[in-house]
Order: sequence, then C-alpha cells, then structure tokens
Amino acid sequence: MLGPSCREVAERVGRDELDSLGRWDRLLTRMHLALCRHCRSYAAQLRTIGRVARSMYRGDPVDESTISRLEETLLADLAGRASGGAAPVDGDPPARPPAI
Amino acid sequence: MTSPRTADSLDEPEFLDRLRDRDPDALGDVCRAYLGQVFRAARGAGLDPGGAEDVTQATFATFIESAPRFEGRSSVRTWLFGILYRKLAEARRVTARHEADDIDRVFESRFDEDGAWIRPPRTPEHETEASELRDALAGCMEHVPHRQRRVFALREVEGFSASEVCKILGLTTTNVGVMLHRARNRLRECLESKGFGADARS
Repeated sequence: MLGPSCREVAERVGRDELDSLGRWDRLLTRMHLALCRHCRSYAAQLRTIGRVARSMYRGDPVDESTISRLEETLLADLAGRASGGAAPVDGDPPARPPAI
Repeated sequence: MTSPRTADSLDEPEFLDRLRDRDPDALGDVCRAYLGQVFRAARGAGLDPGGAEDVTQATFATFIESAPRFEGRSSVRTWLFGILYRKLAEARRVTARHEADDIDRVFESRFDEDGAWIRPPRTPEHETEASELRDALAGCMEHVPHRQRRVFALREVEGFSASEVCKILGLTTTNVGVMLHRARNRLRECLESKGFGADARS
C-alpha cells in the first residue's frame, strides 16, 4: 500500500499525532485508515477504551457524596475568610492561645 | 454571593485579578467548578477515596495559597491540574527517568517485517459486553504505570489538549505521545488477553 505501513499508522493514531503531521503525511495516513479495515478497527478499539474509561470515573455514588462534603467544607472555610477569619475545618486542631 | 460562573468566565482578566487578591467568592467559584473534576482525576490516578480526598484538599490549599502568584499563562483549570499532578507525583515519588517499556516490544510484535498486522484487531462491539468491558478495563488500569495512567487520564478522561498535558506534567509533546500510546496499547493488550477485541488469525 502507498504511504505508511499499518505499524506506522497505528503508532500515529496511538500517539494522537495525526493533527501534527505535515499535510502530505496526514493525507496518506487518512487514506490508509480509509482503506485498511484492520487499522480502522485498531482506531475504533482505542476510541472505545477512551469512552469506557470516561464512563468509569463518572457517577460513582460514594465519590459524589465525598465531593459534596469536600465542597461544603471548603466553601465554609472561604466564607469564614470573607467574614474576617478562617473558619475551622474538620480535623483542625483546637485553637490555642497565642504565645507570649 | 455571586451566581455560579461558566468555565470560560473563570479565565477572564477581571476574574483573575480577584483570584490574585484571594477574593473568597472568586476562590469559591473555582472550587464549585473544579473540585469534583480534581477529586475524580485523583481517583482516576489510582487513589482510594480517602487518598483522593487528602490530595484534593492539599491541591486546593496550595491553589489558595499560591493564587497571588498566578500569571494567567495557562487556564485556571490547567493550573489547578498542574498542582494536583505535582501532589500526586510527590505522593508517589515518581522519577523523571525515561525508560524502555515492555509494551513497546509487544506492540512491535503485532506487525510483520513490512509493518502489516500479523493478528488484526477486531472492530469493538458497541452494544454488547458494556458492563463487562468496564469491569475488565478497571482491572487492566491497575497494570498501567502511574505516569502513563496520568497522561491517559488527562487526555481521555479530562479532555485536556496535548499541550495542556505537557504544561500540567512538565513533559515534552513527544513524551506525552509516547506515554499515551503505551497506556492505550497496554490497555488494549490487557483487554485482548481477557477475550475482548481478539480475532482469529486471518
């Protein structure tokens, strides 16, 4: 086949290099992908891996409740700053009198 | 209290001035916009919920402390993720060495001497096996080295551009490409070993 081999195309796809190639190499790579079903399958597999990975890290109920709690704590701390002093947050040591 | 801002408005010059002054409302807007993303990214980098909580708190503490020094050369989100990934690297004491990786040899073995596929990949089946695939991928992710996993998560899960990933992790474009390629192929090979995407020799 004219242009890059399957190995070269797979490497370019795997590295997300298509947009940074020169016009001629980009054209040849796209032509190869259009004509080679194996390389198209490889690219589709990588897209699927990305899609499934995105779905893995969204919507976990335990994570979502932790996020809400962290956000509340941080916003309360910031509200404390706005009113003139840092609000205590969970886990802060008790206030001690200043050293003389 | 101001109304929640859109992500784009968090990079406007007037807003950045307020951030540099550590205006609590401005800092709160950043927290509302990005705390969830930072926490999920920490989970995606392999931390358990407690570890992700610690590193998220530490990231926002550093963000608030360093806000007066923010120059606005990158977006607020890129800056925040830069802090997060430095925290993750500190936690894991990741070295900056560049080393050969077995996955490169595995990748090469998939092609003959002319660079043609020896065992062609199979087109993924979108409709079936979705939850199985998710479980399998979660298991495979454990075998991806941390630096590769970070690049993969920033590109694929968080949607950062390659140049943003370079800024966040302090890597060159070439390194980011190599690590993304290795992470993807490690996941692909692992899934294939579990029966996904394998095809009969043709």
